[in-house]
Amino acid sequence: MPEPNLLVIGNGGAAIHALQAARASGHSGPLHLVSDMQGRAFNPMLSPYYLAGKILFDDCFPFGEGFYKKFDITCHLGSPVETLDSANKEVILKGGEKLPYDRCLVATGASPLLPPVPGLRTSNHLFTLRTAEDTILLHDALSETQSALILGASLVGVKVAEILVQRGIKVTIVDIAGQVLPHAAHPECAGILEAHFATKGVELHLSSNLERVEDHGSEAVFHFQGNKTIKADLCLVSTGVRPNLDFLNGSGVEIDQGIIVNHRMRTSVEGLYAAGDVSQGRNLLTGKEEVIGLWGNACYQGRTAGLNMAGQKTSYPGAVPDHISTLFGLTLVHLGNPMHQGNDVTILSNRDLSEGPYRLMAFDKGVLVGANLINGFESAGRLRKAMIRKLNWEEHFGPLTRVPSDQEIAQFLADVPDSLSIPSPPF
Amino acid sequence: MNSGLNFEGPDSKLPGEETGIEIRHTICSICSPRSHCGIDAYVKDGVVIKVEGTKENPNNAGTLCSKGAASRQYIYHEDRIRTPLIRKGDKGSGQFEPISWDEALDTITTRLLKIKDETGPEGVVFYAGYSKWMRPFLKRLAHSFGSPNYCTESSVCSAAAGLAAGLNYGTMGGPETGKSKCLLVWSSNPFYSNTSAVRKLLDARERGLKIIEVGPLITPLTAHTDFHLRIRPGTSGALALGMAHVIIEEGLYDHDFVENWTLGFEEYRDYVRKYTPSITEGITGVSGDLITKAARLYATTKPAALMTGPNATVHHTNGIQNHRALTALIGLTGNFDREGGNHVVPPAYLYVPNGVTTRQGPFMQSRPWEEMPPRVGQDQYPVWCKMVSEGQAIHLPFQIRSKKPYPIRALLAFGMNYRMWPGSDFMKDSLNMLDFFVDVDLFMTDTARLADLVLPACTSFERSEIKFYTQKYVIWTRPVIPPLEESRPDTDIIFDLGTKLAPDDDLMQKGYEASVDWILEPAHLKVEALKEYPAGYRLKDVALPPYQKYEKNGFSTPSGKMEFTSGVLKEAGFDPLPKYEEPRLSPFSTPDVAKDYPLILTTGARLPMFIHSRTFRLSWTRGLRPDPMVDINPKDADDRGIKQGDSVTLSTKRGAIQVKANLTEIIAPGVVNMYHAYSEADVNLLIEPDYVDPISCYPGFKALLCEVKKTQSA
Amino acid sequence: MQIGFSFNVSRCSGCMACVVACQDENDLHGDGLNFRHVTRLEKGQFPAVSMSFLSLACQHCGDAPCMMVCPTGAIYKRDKDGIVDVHQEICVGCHSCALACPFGAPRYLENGKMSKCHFCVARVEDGREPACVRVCPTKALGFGSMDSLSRQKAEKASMFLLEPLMKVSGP
Ligand SMILES: Cc1cc2nc3c(=O)[nH]c(=O)nc-3n(C[C@H](O)[C@H](O)[C@H](O)COP(=O)(O)OP(=O)(O)OC[C@H]3O[C@@H](n4cnc5c(N)ncnc54)[C@H](O)[C@@H]3O)c2cc1C
Ligand code: SF4
Repeated sequence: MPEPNLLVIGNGGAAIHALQAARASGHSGPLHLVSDMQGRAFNPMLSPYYLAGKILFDDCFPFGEGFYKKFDITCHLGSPVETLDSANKEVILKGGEKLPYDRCLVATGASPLLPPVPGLRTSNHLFTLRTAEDTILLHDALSETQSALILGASLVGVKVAEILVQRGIKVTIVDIAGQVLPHAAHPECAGILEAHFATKGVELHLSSNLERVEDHGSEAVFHFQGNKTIKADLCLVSTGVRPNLDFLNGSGVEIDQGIIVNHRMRTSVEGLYAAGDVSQGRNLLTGKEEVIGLWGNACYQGRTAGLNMAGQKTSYPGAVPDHISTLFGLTLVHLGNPMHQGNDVTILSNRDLSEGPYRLMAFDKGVLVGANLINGFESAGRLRKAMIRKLNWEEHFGPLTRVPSDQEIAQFLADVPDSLSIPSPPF
Repeated sequence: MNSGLNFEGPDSKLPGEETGIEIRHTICSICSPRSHCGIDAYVKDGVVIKVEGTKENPNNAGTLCSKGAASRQYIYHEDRIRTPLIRKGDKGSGQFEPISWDEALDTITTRLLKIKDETGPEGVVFYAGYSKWMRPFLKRLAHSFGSPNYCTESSVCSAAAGLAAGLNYGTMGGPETGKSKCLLVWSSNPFYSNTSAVRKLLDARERGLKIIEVGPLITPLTAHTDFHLRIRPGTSGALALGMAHVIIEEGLYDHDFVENWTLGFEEYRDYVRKYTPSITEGITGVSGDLITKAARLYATTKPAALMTGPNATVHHTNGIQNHRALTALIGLTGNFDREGGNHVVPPAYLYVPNGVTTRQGPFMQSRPWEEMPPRVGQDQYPVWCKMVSEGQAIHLPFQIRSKKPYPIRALLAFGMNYRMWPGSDFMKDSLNMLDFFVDVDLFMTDTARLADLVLPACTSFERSEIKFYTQKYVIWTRPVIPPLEESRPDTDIIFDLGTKLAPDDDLMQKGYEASVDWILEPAHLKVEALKEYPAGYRLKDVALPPYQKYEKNGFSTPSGKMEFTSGVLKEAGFDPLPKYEEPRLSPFSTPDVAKDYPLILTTGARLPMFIHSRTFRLSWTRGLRPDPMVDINPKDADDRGIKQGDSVTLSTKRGAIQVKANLTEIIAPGVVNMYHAYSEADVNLLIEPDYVDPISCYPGFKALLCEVKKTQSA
Repeated sequence: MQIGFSFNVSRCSGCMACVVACQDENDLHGDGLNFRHVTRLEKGQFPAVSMSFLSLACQHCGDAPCMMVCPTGAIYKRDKDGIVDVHQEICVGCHSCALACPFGAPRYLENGKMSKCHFCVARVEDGREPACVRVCPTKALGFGSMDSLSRQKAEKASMFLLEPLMKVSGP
């Protein structure tokens, strides 16, 4: 039997890992890649480093020029998939070109979500940050910018705010929520960060509901509920993302927030797989399926899809929401759900930063369900492991009354059977 | 030290012509001469850029401990003294000015000769701390100068154990572990004090060696033992008597040896009769059943050897008798000077026994004791002075203050640390009462700061020395780098001073290498020839002495036998039997003190990354245990509301220090353990200067009373 | 081929020479900056207590999570021996690997870049042992190809089978 014809839509982390894994596992049949963009695979999470002047624009494309050749991949670049005909197993590109497949991976990622605020979408001062093009546009605009409004105190928003402040731009961060990083930081942790951001000259407007945007020549005026107005030359919207799946209308594939996949990254439609920000995955903490918008998750899912499409039987169990980034000089870790609530929840933290790094840990019935760390991140990976394995801390430490030290965390994990086993290759 | 990190990538430290990196051989001399591991120094452009153990060296076979591995920070530390310094401000002010070597040495000779003239040479004390390599030469200088007062850090180190065993047997032998079937390890943690030796110990264990461990702490050895007898600190003597009780009652002792070769067995037997397992359990905290089992195992597994730490058993106010009681078990079970037991091998050079004979002893004793005035401590510690060839340094501050029987006016010290003295402030103040204090050291230490003149010494990497190993191996080292700035080897300083202080001493005039040649003569070794072997030389035709030498020569005790009842002690007015007494401060001897200070404090147990204060200042070793911490059992901590890492106050009747709490089960409830010598938390401040053993003057570092409380933050 | 460390827990005494030898080899002078760390484990309560130690550095995972999450491709695995190494010049210091590594291996230099145990790759290629293995006084640490290590383990297993991993000392 001839090797199946594999086709991958998208040219991001999920796509690349799928192609690479399919080839590496022995697939010798055709490998097709389709992308709306020209050029090599872009990594959105590197654009802040480019904007900050730490890397070259070229460095945002981490998979070298030779990648496609090395893995013998046929690229169809520059035109988006407009329709996926699952019945006939073919994709139809914008120009009308049809590409058949035996197995197809949807790895089209996500795009910034724009809140339905009158005047926002049409404003000339609006910027988002996701694609290579977005990055260039924002980069080029910065030299002219004196004041900026960041809509959405998300990780992307705060990261960009830091870059702008470093460039001498006056920055205002606005969020509808009452705190920064509402999805990543416990209110107590957010409080510490807010105080820190303020010392860096950032103006914070929390619990602020944007009602309308008006362009006035070189600047835009932002009107908020309660008659508050803010003016800025530039507005970055960082209020979240939505999966790129419009072209799947009529394909019959089951979709929730993103495409629903099983542990082998198969969708509800025969021969169709999905991975990365366009799909869902299992939140190992809650057991629920949801979009996990992380680079690492996209790569793992992509690899799993690629292997299964090539005939290997491997599975990906899912991930816990996690994030680490350095914001205004503080390294913040977010793990699981630090805001977790319930009757059996214990939240421990060492508020006193003079005693060392900040650490907040939330336990449900003795199991770690969420954490925030500021600066002391040596234990972050171990905590993540403990969380995924649902280890019971109470059984080891007794009643949880204080945040364990790095040393104690290391001791705890070293004591758990098999917790030292080394991750072994998937095939 | 902050990161001067220059990450050159992984291929930066390979020796070879392309890299310009050369391997040169030397030895580490950070810890005790028992170890002094061979080191391969990677040298580039005259700078050591990496170290590792010398593979050819049979002692460490390529390995090192954490201290030796940190050698580079030791050699190049910013606290290294770079030039001779003379005090400018008040005594103890720490203000110095550089002077030239000529000026410095002139000042010293002039001052010391003047004191000799005015009040006699005995007013000058010559002191050797660490490292020990300069000792033979310093002692010779002292005596050739005319002073009996050569004192060393051995006044708290291993000399008392030798003294105690010497009272029983004349001379003592170490355990012949490789040939032994059962090893009784008594208050020793070779894993941290003699790291290079434990590989063989573990190998022997894997081959079936039985191991019994005695000591208050869980150590890395504990996991490898058949029994661990976790005694209350200070009760070794009682435990040994309890074991003797079982061995005698059950007839497990060596009847033949006891009958023919011992003195005082009946008295001893009568005395141990009362140390039944249950009585002993009451004293030591070790279950009677375990005592019985351990005694049987040790007495019936032949051959069996006893390994003791250099000093944990004698750092007690009852130390000498404790150590006598436990070493008596060797003779009782017939393991003295037997194959696989405790084999008597006299040291070749600097405490290392390997069958080689040298003239170290005669070299050091350039003038007989009879021709010199009494030593420091001789009036109060006559047994010490009879058994140990030096003054008792712990008594030094008392004589500085009392000026009895004669005044001490000057001190020429090499590597001294006043924090070694119990009541270290008492010693510090005493040093400030001297007319003239010279300190030679590598680093500007708390002690050097008190001196009138400070001289910069250099490390083993920067000098030449002779070093013997028990594995019949010897090395004459060559400097792998030149001495840092103006620093010099201790021996250069000693021999330079000798030209004027000991003009009549021929060897002092001939110099260092000639002196070493003189010492080595009986071994048929010469410095010049050894230079051909930079990594060391495997000695040929060296045989260890035979076993059971006593059958021919008897024992070098007053009776010529092994003495259960010591003739020397009897003559000096002490109890001749190895009698057990409670530590001077204990819940039983001083219940009134224990009311306020209910915890037993034991101090100075080894940590793997430190050897006394020597590696505190290196960020590599200090980073492994940054804070001074008191080890406390979680139960005791809980009773006091103390949690891991809390700031706590550790106090005795004498004083208090601030440390962090380390909750650990390695320490039993009721006992706390504190490492010594921290400048910021010096536990010796909590011990009275006269809290000493009456026979040896050894401080009772390992058992006293204290309390630990959570420090209320301001 | 996959190269790896072997560690005999019953021989480790927690002396931490491996930590320092690695700092010396890699010029890690900064306080607390170390590629290898030793964890002390205690079990039980007085009087039945056991103590053991665990020396860990990067495990050079067969399937390295740090490499999977690295956004730049700075972390890579050598085909030849499976060593996981970092291209310093490509690393942007995003710290993603700190969160991914289950062993806490990645460290960050003053320039923000990730650095970690590289198995003394140049030494190993030159026929030497990694610095930590060389220094280990009890020979608790070893190294070799995973195949040979598991073979050794199987050979030794017959001897150690009955000996529990951590012994509890008696009352
Ligand atoms: C500023 C920023 C910072 C971030 N920081 C982090 C971080 O610190 N840590 C982290 O884990 N994650 C971070 N992320 C998220 C991370 O970048 C994404 O989770 C990851 O890139 C998702 O990969 P993907 O392959 O699923 O999607 P994408 O990288 O979005 O790739 C989708 C691909 O599909 C193509 N495509 C889309 N539609 C079509 C179509 N119709 N036809 C053909 N091709 C199409 C796109 O051009 C693109 O090539 C960040 C994201 C941003 C924007
Ligand atoms: S850094 Fe951590 S995850 Fe990466 S290879 Fe090493 S041990 Fe594995």
